[in-house]
Amino acid sequence: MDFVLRRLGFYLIAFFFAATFNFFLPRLMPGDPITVMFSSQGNPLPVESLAALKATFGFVDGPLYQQYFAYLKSVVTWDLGSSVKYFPQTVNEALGRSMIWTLFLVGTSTLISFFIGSISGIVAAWYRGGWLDTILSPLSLVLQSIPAVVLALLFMFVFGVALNWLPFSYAYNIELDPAFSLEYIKSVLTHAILPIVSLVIVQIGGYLLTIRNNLINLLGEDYIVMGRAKGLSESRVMFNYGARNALLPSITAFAMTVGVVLGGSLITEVVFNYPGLGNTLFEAIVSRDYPVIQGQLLIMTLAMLSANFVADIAYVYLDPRLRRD
Amino acid sequence: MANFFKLLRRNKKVSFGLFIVTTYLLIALSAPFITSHDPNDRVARPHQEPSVENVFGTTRMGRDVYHLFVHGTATSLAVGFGAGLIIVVIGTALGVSAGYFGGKYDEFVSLITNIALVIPQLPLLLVLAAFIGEASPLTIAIIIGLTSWAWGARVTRSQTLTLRNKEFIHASELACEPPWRIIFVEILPNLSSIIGLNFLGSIIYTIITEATLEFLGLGDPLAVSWGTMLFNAQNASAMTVGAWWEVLVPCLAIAILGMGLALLNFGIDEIANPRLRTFSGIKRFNKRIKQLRAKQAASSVVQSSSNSKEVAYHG
Amino acid sequence: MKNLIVRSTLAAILSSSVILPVTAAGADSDKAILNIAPVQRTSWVRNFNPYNQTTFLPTTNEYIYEPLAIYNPMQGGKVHYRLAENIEFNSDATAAVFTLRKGVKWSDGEEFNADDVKFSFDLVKANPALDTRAIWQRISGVEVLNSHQVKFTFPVPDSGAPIEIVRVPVVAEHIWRDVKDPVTFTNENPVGTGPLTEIERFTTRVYVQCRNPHYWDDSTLKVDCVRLPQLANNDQVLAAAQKGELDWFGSFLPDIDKTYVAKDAQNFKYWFPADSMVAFNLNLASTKPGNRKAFNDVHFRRAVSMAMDRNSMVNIAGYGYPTLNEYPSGLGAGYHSWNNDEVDKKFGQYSRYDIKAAKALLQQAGYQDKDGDGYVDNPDGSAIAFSILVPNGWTDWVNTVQIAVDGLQEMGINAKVSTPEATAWTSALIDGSYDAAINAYFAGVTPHLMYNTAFHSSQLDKTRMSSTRFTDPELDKLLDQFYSTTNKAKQQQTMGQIQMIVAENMPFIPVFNNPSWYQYNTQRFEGFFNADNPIAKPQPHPGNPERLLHLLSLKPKS
Repeated sequence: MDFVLRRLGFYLIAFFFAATFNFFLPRLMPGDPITVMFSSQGNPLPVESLAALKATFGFVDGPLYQQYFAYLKSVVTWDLGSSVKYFPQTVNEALGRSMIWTLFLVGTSTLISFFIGSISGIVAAWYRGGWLDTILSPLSLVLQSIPAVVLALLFMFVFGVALNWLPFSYAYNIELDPAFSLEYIKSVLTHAILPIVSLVIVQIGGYLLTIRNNLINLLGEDYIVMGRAKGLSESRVMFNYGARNALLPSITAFAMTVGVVLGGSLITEVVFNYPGLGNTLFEAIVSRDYPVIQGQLLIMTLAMLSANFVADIAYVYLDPRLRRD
Repeated sequence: MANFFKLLRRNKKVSFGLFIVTTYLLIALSAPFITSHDPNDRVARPHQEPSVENVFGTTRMGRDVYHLFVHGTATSLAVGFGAGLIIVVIGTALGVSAGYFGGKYDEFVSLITNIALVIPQLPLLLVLAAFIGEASPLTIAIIIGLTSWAWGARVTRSQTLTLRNKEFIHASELACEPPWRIIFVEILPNLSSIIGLNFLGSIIYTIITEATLEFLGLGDPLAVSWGTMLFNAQNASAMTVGAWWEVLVPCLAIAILGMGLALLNFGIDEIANPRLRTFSGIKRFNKRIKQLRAKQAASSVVQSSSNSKEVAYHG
Repeated sequence: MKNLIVRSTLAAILSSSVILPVTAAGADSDKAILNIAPVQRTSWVRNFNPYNQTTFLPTTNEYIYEPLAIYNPMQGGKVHYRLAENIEFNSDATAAVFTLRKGVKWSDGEEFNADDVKFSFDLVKANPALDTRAIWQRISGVEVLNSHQVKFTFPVPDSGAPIEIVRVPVVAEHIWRDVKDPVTFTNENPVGTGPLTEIERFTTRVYVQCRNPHYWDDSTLKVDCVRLPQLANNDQVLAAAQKGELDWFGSFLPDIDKTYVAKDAQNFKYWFPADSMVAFNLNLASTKPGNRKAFNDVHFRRAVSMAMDRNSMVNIAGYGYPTLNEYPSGLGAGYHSWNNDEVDKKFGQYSRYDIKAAKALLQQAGYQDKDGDGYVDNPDGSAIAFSILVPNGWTDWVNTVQIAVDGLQEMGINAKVSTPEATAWTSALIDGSYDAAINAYFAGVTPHLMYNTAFHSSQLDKTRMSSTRFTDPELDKLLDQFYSTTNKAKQQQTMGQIQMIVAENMPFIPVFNNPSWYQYNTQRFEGFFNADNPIAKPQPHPGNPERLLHLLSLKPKS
């Protein structure tokens, strides 16, 4: 328990640092959203109106420390103000809406890759050198070094544009109102296929190789040999003796990849016009929508921290040695 | 050296990786000799299919894709190696020093490292690149280098901790060898495989990230690089108008180099860890990577309890 | 100004997932629903505040809030009266009386009258954030004469003021007087005088806006509803357009004949009449002495102009969509009726691409490579070296500037391209902290707006249009004179003199006019504006008031 508390303390500190960093980022950046909007429209805003508009949206200068404390307060109370580009939408509304879709994409693709990756990894390790292993392992390695953007573009082009098999934009058919209907759910699922498959491919190799290599290492261990010697069935030894222990590093890998997956999801969403956090962030960056950018970075940091914390807890649970702390 | 060639002969994948990377290096180094003009020159009509004059076709602006590819290779490799170097230097310096000196300094470095690890990378880079504006490949290399050292630092630190408690280090200390000598002569050579892995991994990461940033339009649009090629192709809706070569060339360039580096990475690991060679095949590379990841993740778990414990588990 | 490739470039190769036929757009299928794509957004947010130009929805002005009148630059500034019936100046053009149409009702059935007009202008005066067109610099007072007459007074004789006055939205006093903060008010259920005021469906992805039950010009209106699918970028627009899902839109489409027209040549069409003028700027107040010296020499500016390969800019960088501008005054084809032919005869050669003549002119004026660095220097030996600023991501312009730099380099001028963020570009142009840049000017009802914002000394530092920092007392006088009369012939004469001064000095270097982005689909509707039917500027974008005339001319095909 002590250990968990200490980790929690660390995450708090980390979050504080990230939040502070987040505060300074936009203040180092030239330009403000109002000016950006008008410069891209080519509409010359009179100086007086510009000043008045900036004041309305809260871009007024004050002593930095005052701004900082006001900011910290807004972070703690999670009252992040409203988007400039999509006024009067609040940052919370904008993020809340898009977070659901990102959670859906990231969650589903991570679970799929974790299961498929782990199971094929176990099988590949067990029959190492077999045809499955010979194909899958190098393939995983190669897939890992292909950028998400290249994958997403290729998928979209092949299955969306050229073959026209699947929808490749937005999260559902816009003619449908979100409702708990078969049609709507079907629409959501078909729209998710291409982004999810792209994300799965980005991740799956990692899980496959992790568990495979760990398992291969363990296979030489005495207790495995013992299990076999006792005449236990292959599958029993494979899953109960080997996989269980080999899974441990995968759990931590799971936490470590959250950052990678968030990044991959970001670009995948942009390519597929998927209304998730990544798309929102990209647009906010382009239009210099500070409040949204800040909210985004905070929420992504929180996601990373939570994933790490969950992994910590899982580790404590799975590795009895740690519980003694 | 002889061992090296023997290994190459035995391990087809490593030699293939080395072949790919060497080819890219040769292309980059001989760029001035194998091209005939500035890559940004408009030499033909827009969107000409690959032909004898323009082997990879031309872009919407009438630039020759082959010339862009060759010069882009130089850019990507320079950015990759540059950022890789920064990452390795910072990561190794912090990791080794923290691991060796320990104490408050170690706690501080570990804290910073762990914080850097839990801040989402790509979103941060996007925001940074946008804030800096007109991010040239050099700028991109620097910001990637300065923000991506944490993983290497952590791995190097835990490896150093392991070595720190080895008898030969104790012996050196008893012999009153100065710390710099212990670090440079005793510890660093033993970390060479980790440093090599870190370096190659960072190159892959940097090249992918640079291409992504530029593709999103956050780079310098005048730079000649694969990411900018993708960005321009995208702007010209190259796929829609049927100019597949404008998209495919940079895509394949990135993917193949990534593959080559990954294979090479795997090779370095085998060379450095003969124990791993029992099974031939590609698995070694990633096994190693994952082990390190696991170790690092585990160390994040354990690290707050005590250093020696971590060593006990993983050393 | 519309840059060819709209800024946030990223994106899907093609996209949109609309599978159902558009007529089933959630409304009665017997209604005539027009699918339009006037802007690109990643989400619709319900905001119909007509004053809030940064965030309002694109169907707010004109469609919900009918203007008093529409000035039509394509018809030489002809007035189309809408809520007003007549505009009458006093003898010295220091005031104008707007007579309002009788029997106009708000969409909630209330009467529209002069009090609404006065209320709207007072509202803008009380809230500078709403005065995005700086109207209170053009007018000094609003007075209700009777229930259907309003008198505007101007600080100086100004026959051009009504052009700006009619751009200010007129809102319902009985609604807006209770609004606490009109700046942040989102006006979710708008009450307007325009043709389409009823929001029938609203989601973040699509909304449908339908007929005003009390519309005064109901018999002309044949479109029952407009439907706006949310499209985030050019590629998504293209995908939707290719499937025939859009009836009226305006977007950059690469290789349009291949990507759009070819899909249904019978019905898929486009028309890109000339819009705002694009020119290169050399900052006469550059902080670098060598550059400043060269930029202040008209021979240098002319040589630069002659190094501009305008045809390549239009055809390669711009896909052939922009309109070539070889007017030494920058006037442009759109305003040709104002042209002073004398000016072309005298200075025309300086605005045509001729690299040989440019080199000769440079040499003649004493520009040579004195220090042997391969680039020409000033006659006194000081170095000339500058970067041309162009906003990052505005790909067509970036390519245009590269073509310009190719020409300059060939002439031996040390010029480079620099691509800062759009904001940095804007502020550099406003405060004059740059050497050279590409810039776009206003396309007003008359060419006066472009020249006035660019060169009138009172406009310095106000907008990025005054970026060259060229002023001339004689030019100031002419610019002031232009609108001091309502006499068209006198205006024409003044405009001719203005062109002469501008062309003689060549303070900006015109290259082309941006295209007005406009594509249409005649599968379901007819009556679209085009080159054979050039009634008015055809774009559906907010900011183009003539789109109301366009909407009213559309009819569903039977």
